[in-house]
Amino acid sequence: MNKILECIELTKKYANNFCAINQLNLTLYSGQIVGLLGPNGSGKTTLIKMINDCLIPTGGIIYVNGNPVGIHSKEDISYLPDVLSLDEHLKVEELVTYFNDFYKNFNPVKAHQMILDLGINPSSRLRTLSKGTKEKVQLILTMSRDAKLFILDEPIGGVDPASRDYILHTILSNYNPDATVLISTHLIGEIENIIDRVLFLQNGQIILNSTVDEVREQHHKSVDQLFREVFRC
Amino acid sequence: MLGKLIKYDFKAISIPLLILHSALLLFTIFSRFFVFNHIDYSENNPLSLFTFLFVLLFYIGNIAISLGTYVIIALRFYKHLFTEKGYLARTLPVSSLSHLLSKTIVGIVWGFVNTILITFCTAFVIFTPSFFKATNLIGGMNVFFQVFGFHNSFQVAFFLIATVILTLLSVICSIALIYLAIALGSLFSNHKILASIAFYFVLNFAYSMISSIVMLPLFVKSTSTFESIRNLPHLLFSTYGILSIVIIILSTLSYFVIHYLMDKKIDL
Repeated sequence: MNKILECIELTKKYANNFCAINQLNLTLYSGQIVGLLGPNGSGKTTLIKMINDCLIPTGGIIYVNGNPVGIHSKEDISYLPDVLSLDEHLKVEELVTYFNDFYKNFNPVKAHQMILDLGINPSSRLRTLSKGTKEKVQLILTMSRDAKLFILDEPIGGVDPASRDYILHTILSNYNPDATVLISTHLIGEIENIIDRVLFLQNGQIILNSTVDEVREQHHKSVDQLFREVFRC
Repeated sequence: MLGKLIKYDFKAISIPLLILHSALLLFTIFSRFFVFNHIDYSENNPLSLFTFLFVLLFYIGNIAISLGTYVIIALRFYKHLFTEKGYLARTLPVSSLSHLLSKTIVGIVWGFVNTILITFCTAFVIFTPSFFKATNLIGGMNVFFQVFGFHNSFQVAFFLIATVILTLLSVICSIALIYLAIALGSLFSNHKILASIAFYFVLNFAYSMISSIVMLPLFVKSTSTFESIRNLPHLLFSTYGILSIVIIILSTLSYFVIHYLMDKKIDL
């Protein structure tokens, strides 16, 4: 297993002195599905955005597959943000072409097949589709890459249970087992059975970094139960 | 990668801009043949109220289309890099410099097209047969050039080419100013658009002041004697030269600042 993600003394402080991420140290290895869990405002999205060069860290450094955040790290990361980031005036097939144009590891055949499996007309403009379908298109494009690190920010929040099952099935059946998947969510019960490792994030720091089996053995609880106990209001 | 970015940036804004400029062309043709061709430029025929209002409408329409062009260019830069769409743009394996270059190139092309088209449309509606007959424009221009020191057609041609180059440089500077205003406005956590508009007016004023201060000594020296005024080519070429240098310096500095802000300071 090699290091796929390394965060060293990572810090993000905002102008009002609020510290969203506080000297965070984290190493992830290849070939794992990792759940990044924490209550609202714990810093999950902030951490993810810094890894993806959408936020500038105040301090510390990030390495992805040995490269600092930059062009090479973006080639290795496939990122699903928690908002719709696609150009809605483009057609679905044009979005496939767009991804194929910019990402060397994008598989357009796989993307087309998943789009057709969902019954989406590739000639439809994205803005004509429902919110849930747009999100599925975005997920399909993300998972159609042969990336080394998949980062999915709240992929199942805000969708119906059937869609959640589809999303989780798509994630599991389309990622390379040698790759790492980092899923950020607060719906722990839905992902507990698919993740290998769990990270608890609170007030910008990691307070737990264990495998799911270790959590169950040491705490005699499921990850969901431990989460509710640790982050009790 | 830069070529691909340019392709998609052109694709994103070309349709609305083609529609705008097609409307301008159609309006120009309509104006020329149904209004301006019927204007009698001889001394004793004042414009009718309808004609006056239509001329005003034409002028306002040109301004609106020019404004619309730059708003569309600005919105593409802002939305694609500094809003939710930035989550895709900024995670592409391309540098922030490539993003900036792509949007600059596309903005300059359309800004230049807009300037040339508006100039052409204005000339097309004004220079009617009646206008030429009443003003003896060509004869007048020959006299003008001779009186003010243009000795041959080469100098006139050079002056026209220099005007086109200066226009292009002005477009480059306009785009730089818009993008810099947006980049500075994006530093704010709230009211980014309002901040960007405010920065635009401040920067516009600052750029104008700098140009005026730099040009002042030349203007004073060049208009101090009647002989120096009559040497128009020298005055124009000096003015153009210094103005071009000022524009190049301001634009270059602006693009350096924009790139620095995009790379090091602006969060999504």
